[in-house]
Amino acid sequence: MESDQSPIEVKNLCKIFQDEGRGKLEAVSNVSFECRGGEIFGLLGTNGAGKTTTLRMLATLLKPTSGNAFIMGHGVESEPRQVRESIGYLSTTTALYPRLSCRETLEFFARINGYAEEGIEERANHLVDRFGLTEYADARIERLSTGMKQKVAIARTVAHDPAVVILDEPTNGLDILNVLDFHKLMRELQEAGKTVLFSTHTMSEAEKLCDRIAVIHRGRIMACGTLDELRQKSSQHYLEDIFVWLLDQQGEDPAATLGST
Amino acid sequence: MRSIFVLTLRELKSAFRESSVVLYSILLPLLLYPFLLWLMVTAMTFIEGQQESRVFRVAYHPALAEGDSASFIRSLNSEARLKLEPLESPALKSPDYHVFLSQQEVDGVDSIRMDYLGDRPESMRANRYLAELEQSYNEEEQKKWLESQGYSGEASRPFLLDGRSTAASGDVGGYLLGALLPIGLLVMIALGGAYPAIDTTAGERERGTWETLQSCAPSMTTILISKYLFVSLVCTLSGVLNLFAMLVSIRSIVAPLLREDESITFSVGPQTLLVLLAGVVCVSFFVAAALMLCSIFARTFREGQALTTPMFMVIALPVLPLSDPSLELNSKLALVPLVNLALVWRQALQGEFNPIYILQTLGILGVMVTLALWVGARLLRNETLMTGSGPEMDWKRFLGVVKGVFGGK
Repeated sequence: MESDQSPIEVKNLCKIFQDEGRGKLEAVSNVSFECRGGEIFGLLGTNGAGKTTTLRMLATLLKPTSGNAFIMGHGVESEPRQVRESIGYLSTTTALYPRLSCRETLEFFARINGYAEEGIEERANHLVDRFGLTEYADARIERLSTGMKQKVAIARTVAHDPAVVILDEPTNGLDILNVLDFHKLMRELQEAGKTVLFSTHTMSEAEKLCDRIAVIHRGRIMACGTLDELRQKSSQHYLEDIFVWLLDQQGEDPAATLGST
Repeated sequence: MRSIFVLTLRELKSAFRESSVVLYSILLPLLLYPFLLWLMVTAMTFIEGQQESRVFRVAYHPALAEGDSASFIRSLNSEARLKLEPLESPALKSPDYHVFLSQQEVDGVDSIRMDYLGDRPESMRANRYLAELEQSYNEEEQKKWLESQGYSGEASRPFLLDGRSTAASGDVGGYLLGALLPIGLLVMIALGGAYPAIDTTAGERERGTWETLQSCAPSMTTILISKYLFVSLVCTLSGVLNLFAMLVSIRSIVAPLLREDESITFSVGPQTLLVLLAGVVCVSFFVAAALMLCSIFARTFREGQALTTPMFMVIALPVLPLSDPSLELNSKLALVPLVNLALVWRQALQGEFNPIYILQTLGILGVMVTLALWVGARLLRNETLMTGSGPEMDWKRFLGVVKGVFGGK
């Protein structure tokens, strides 16, 4: 990657699905943004806004219909393997192997994503300590609670120490204490120089964590910038109000939006 | 290579912690087949014993107790397995009697008519038993008459036809193994591989681990090879265990069925063993590819089971040609997958080896495996199939996916 290049660059990304019931469906339309090194970037939008589809394209799970995206300088279409090696991806549907233990899970994902063999055991031990999994380290995943599973899922996402972390609604299913711990982890990743891109529909979470935010609606980016920039632009203080203002600018009725998603 | 090793090892580790895999892939091939054979032999011995101690109720017309037939009726009375009763006209449909004997004249000769019911097994057995008694009674009477006329009793039989099998006991064993082993082995390999094949495709998608794996560094081809290798290894393990169990247990299973003067040896030479093992490996790779190809369309484990069930009918296909003991492998049959292998196994167990047909058989299986993997690799790259979240697989969806995969979309 060239030194002036951002770890994540998204250029005019489009995704059209052929839906059996509804015909052609443009889930993502001309989405462009970039995430700078060591930044926590939030993709904010309602359910069905196109957040997951965008992140899935960045993780090379879906091929863009048009446009392109680059992770650490690697094109998602032209160099998918290099992209996957550079990222840690956690999706909403991400699950773990129920019959592996926590430690085995962490070791497996570190190993499969190319972490140096000699450091795997140490890395797994570090993650077990960091995520408070010591008591459950050798317990099988199937025996853990939902919250603990989510913790292991996040831990396995960063098991190979990736430069870019992409998280799709990572706090789903976590209780308040675990959410706070997750926020702490985000800060730690940032301090370690990682670039974090995460999607959420929780406005307060985006306000609290993100250096910059892109608001996405109906597959289009409505606004992108720091919280202050968005506040300045909309003359609104809270992100919820900013979101409603942006909808209004698009000529959309928030109540109607509820029905459409 | 490292990724393939890591992924396959993970699959194996998870699989052998699952009780269903241990049951279907290890315990069943190892224990069930000998158990089924033992059950069959025990059941046969039990039924035979039951039949031998079975008492048939015979009614006869009182007129038979007089005249020429009287001594025959008396001889029947001394039979422990018969209970005779004179009656004018019994109702055979009632459960009281199995046969009814009455007097009749055929071509001017007095004879005994035996009425039985052709739709009642017990009545049919009684008929057969009495026919045997009638034959030995007549032979005995003939012998007595010849002796009374000054001839030897054996004069009525100028020579005896004494049939003896000259086949070596090992050949008989090979014949028996050839009839039993191929089908059992094929079914067990398929059964052993079915759960892992469904679990590693449809099961992963149902649990959501498929997407987790897709987002990891290894390419889709590496993932496919690892999964395929895993299912093939489990199939091979099931096959080898089943083969071992069969070879070890068949002697003791068949022993109760043998007469005192019969002997069967079940010895498998190194050449036969090599052909058997090579076949197990090849068919495991073939069955694994076929099972995975079916279950790749499924989104849930249940759907995977439904899609792979027809595969078992295909696996059982060689039952038909194998039921004909005279059928031999030829250049045409060598082109039919599974049937060719079953025949190669059967002939190898009977000590026959035709290297050309063996190579042809293995080659055909190799071609089928390559074809299945090529289709599988294309399917795995299909976005709609692999990441879609629509309704369950139906014909419309299936054809849409096939069109998408092979239409270059």
